[in-house]
Amino acid sequence: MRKGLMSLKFKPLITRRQKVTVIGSAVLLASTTLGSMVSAQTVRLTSAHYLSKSLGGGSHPLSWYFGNIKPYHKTVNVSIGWFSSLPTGLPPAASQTNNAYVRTVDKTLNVHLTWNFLEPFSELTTKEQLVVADNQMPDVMVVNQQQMEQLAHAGKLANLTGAFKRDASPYIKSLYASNHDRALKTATINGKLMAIPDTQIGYQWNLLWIRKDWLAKLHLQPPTTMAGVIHVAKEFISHHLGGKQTIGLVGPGNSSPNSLTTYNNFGGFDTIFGAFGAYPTYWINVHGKAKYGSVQPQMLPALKYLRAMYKAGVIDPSFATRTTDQEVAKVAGGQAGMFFGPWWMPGHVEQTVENNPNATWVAVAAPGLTAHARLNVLAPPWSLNYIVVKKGFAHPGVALKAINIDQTDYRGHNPAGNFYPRYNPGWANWPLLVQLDFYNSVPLQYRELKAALAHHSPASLAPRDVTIYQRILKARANQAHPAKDIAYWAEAAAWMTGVAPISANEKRYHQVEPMTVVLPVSMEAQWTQMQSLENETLLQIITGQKPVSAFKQFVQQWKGLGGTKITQYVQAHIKAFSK
Amino acid sequence: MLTKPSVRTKVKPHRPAAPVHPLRPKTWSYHLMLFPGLLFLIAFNYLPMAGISIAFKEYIPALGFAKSPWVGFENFRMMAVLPGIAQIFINTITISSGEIVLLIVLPVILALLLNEVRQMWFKRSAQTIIYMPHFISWVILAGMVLELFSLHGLVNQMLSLFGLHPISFMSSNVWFRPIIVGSFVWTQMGFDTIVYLAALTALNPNLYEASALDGATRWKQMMHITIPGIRPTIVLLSALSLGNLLNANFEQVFLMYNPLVYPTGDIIQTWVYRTGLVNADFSLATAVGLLQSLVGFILILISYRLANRFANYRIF
Amino acid sequence: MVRSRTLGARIADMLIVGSLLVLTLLTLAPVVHTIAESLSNGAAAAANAVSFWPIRFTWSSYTALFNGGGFFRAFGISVERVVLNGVLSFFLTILMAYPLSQSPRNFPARRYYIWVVVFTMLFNGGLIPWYVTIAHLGLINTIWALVLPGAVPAFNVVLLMNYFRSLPKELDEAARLDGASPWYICWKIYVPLSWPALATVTLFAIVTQWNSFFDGFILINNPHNYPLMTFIQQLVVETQSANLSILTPTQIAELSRTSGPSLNAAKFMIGMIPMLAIYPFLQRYFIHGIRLGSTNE
Repeated sequence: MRKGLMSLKFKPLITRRQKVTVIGSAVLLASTTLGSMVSAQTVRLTSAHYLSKSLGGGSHPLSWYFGNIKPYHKTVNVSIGWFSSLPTGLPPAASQTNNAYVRTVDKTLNVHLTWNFLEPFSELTTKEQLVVADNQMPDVMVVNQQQMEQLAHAGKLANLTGAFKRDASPYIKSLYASNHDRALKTATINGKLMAIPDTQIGYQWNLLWIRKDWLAKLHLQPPTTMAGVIHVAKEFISHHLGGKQTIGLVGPGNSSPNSLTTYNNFGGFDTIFGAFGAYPTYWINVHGKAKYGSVQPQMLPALKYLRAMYKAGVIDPSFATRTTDQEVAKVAGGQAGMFFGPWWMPGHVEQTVENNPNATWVAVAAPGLTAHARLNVLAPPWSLNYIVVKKGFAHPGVALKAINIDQTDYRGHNPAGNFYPRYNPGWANWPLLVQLDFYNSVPLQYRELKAALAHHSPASLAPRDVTIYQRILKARANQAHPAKDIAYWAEAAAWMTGVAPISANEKRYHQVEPMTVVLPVSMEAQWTQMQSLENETLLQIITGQKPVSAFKQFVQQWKGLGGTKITQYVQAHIKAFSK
Repeated sequence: MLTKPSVRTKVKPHRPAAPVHPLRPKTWSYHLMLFPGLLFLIAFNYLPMAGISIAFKEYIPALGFAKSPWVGFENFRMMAVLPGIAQIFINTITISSGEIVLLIVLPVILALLLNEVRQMWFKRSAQTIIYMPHFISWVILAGMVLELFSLHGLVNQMLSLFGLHPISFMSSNVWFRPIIVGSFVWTQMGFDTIVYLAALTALNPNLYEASALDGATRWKQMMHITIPGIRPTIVLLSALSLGNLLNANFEQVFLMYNPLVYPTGDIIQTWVYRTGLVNADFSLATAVGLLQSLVGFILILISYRLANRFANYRIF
Repeated sequence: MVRSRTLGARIADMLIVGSLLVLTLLTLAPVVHTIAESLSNGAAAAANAVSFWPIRFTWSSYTALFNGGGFFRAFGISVERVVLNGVLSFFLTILMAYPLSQSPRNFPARRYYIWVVVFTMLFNGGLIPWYVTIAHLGLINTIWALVLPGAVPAFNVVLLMNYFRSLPKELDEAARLDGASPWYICWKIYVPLSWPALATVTLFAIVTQWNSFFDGFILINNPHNYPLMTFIQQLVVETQSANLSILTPTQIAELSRTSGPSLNAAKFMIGMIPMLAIYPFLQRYFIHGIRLGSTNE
């Protein structure tokens, strides 16, 4: 199935598919992903006053974006180790080591980059461990959290505290500030900033996506409670709106060991669990202690509820034996009326509209048990990748200065920006860059796009949003024939249909911060075994193959298989980290 | 001159014991001949073995090999208490013993079948084809196997013809080991017939002629001449394969496994790789690797002795 | 050899030929499937529609490969490593195998040397010390990092040594009585008599070199200099798992043109063809060239 426009830009750097293929701790980092000590907290869309301005075009001088990009007096040679990108996104004559970006950095900063190594993402950690062992660490490289901590504790990393204060532009600082500098906190050890962290983007919680044309046929309103969801599903099914085999609500499929919940991905039942205060497959903070969500008592009522839904035929009867792609295909094939997923989902199910021009989608905040219930959702991890600088390197600010340039150019704030927006070279090819954006860029961009569309003028928009604005207009012009350019439809639907319910319900969301847990390799096999037991049991309870009482047995079994030990390990590890 | 190579196992010396002295070569030439090769072995095999020392240290990459502190047998003690380690030994032994058994039985059967084929062109083409997988890189083989057994791959397409549900083979802890063993056997089986075919060509044709005159059927010939004729080879290869008990194929498993099948598919070498390089617990990884080498070494010594004793054979 | 031509014998013949035929077909099936995919339309292959016959036949996967420079550069590097290592290991293997084939009576130190060789098959210091050693020799990111560490394949030394030992002892002794030096005996007597074994071990060395992928990842710092198998593996892994999340839609589209099952199949085909083209010609040597040991005297 084709990838949608949006699905690519905002997914976390480690994608779900990668979890299965990337070896080692990254896997567990992702599958038990998560932030840190702060527990639940209510979020506000407008976190700081400057943010509302910062997205607009021209409200800040260029120097606010660029910060310190003064050239060095003498050419600075910087050796870097980076991941090699695919041979894509490069103009014919360019390479990853010689392209417009590299030349811009060279020209602007008087910095000469040399590549000690370029390694495929899958082998990057291996290569880095080898060069560190050989005492040949490059001046700058990108690592994961575990490596960053190890290198910092071994005294191999430069302290970037001063450089960050001096060289990071106000713009870059505002990106971190949009999530209360949490990403920076993960890179701060003993009060010193030891790395430049990436930022993860929030507000990508699951919505309920519904076939609007089906609702209209039956004169129904989008549901606002779970009971409403059940009712709508039953109506869809009994009226055979998707043919004889109509599916009310599709599930996540079983493509991963923790398939029931899928943060920022297709089909998960996260919000139904959340309605009961249950957070399966995540490590959460219960009264100041790390606990594994899947074995908490809140799971029981949630499982009972899902079991009843399944029994009533509301959920796809085959969801437990299908893969995620197969479930998506049911939606794309016009057989299913509802699914859970984040705002960028239109790109995922664009075939529905391509195949059937009458098909339209509407999204609502995934309902709770009552119409005004608090909506319990999960936060993304604070940070996943880190740029580190070798201790003793004379110009620790060099990566920050490069980031000042590329973020400004990438976001289109530099009128003379010469390597964006042509994606030439595509940003996977840029060295010295990790994903950086406003934590709340999704709702903020939406709000400004909405205002601009209302005023019929993109003048107030940040440059990157002007492109989106134009695409939305094109999509609207195509309204009768969305299939003509389905990518425009997908982008417009993602922004205008997808983000709207998040924005409208901001006060109802209650975000729970899960904890980041990196298990040692010695526990991996055990953990995998526990995960498959968990996945199997939960699925069997929901699908009625096992009685509800099986949950109690599962908790005991889970503890016996190593759950108690691993919980102790996690608690000790997180305590140690918080010191 | 290219003589027809000798297929007899060994020419017995038919000479009186010669006085040693005039025949004794000047051994300095031998030492000199060995020198360049040894230089390479020292540089690329023996120097790195110094790294084994960190099995007894707490290796900290930032401190390097020399400066990391000694911890005695701490890493081995750790190994004994870590719950996951027994499983990787079980996985390794299960996979390798499956491969060992099948690679003794199947090549023998295959060699016997080939031996019975009269059409030489067919025999030769069949041999050529069954040798083939041995020459293909695991990168390619694994790619092909993963594709064949994928959810929409050829195997599942075949299953669906019989109305069976597709199986997620490569993420199934039930199927992963059989697929690893099966694909390994598939690649090696043909090639492993070579030794048996060589042994078969060495059998005396007169025996067959004599037994045919006695009215023996082909089945009887096979049971009473062919199989006894290659029995020493079977015994020898069985003894030798013992040394591989802790050696499943790293490249193959590394390219084919994924976290979902760690419980059944994670073998010693892949575990050592991840523990050392991804998890940076390099001392523990080295300790486990060392244990594996030691056991392997003992097994080789045993098989060397067994071969010497029961097959009257020297491997080295 | 006299064999009866009874009905039973014919049935037996058919059964034997039949079962071998099934086995050869099973061996060929995955390869034929790969060939069919590589010659199929990309969309058909992506839809898993291809079994054993190309669907909407096209050479486009191959022309795409031939037009992309990276693939052939990697192919060239693999050829280079094979040739360099092949030549080097050919001489080193002979030079080690000959003295080791001497009886302990002729060469008492042999018993120690052989264990020095065998030991390397069993013990290693692990990846990091190996890497550090090669790095200290200044070989990282050069072709020699791929060539030199495998210059003495211990298993091949043992194979050739056993072949030498299976040759009549009288050759050696007679030549020595005539005053020939060990060098002369090795090169002028043993080597010419040992072509089957030499062909076999050389083929083994070539196959090992051609098929290695892991050392490329570890010892080469830039995908630009990867040998073919590393290059293929990198593309396969990257397209499966990598940073799709950080690619633009245009790049994704480009990627699906340069990966996809039919292109992967074409890469596999070109990756295996050289070895598959060589081994049948050397096949007649294996059967006589492989000696796993020798009977005791």
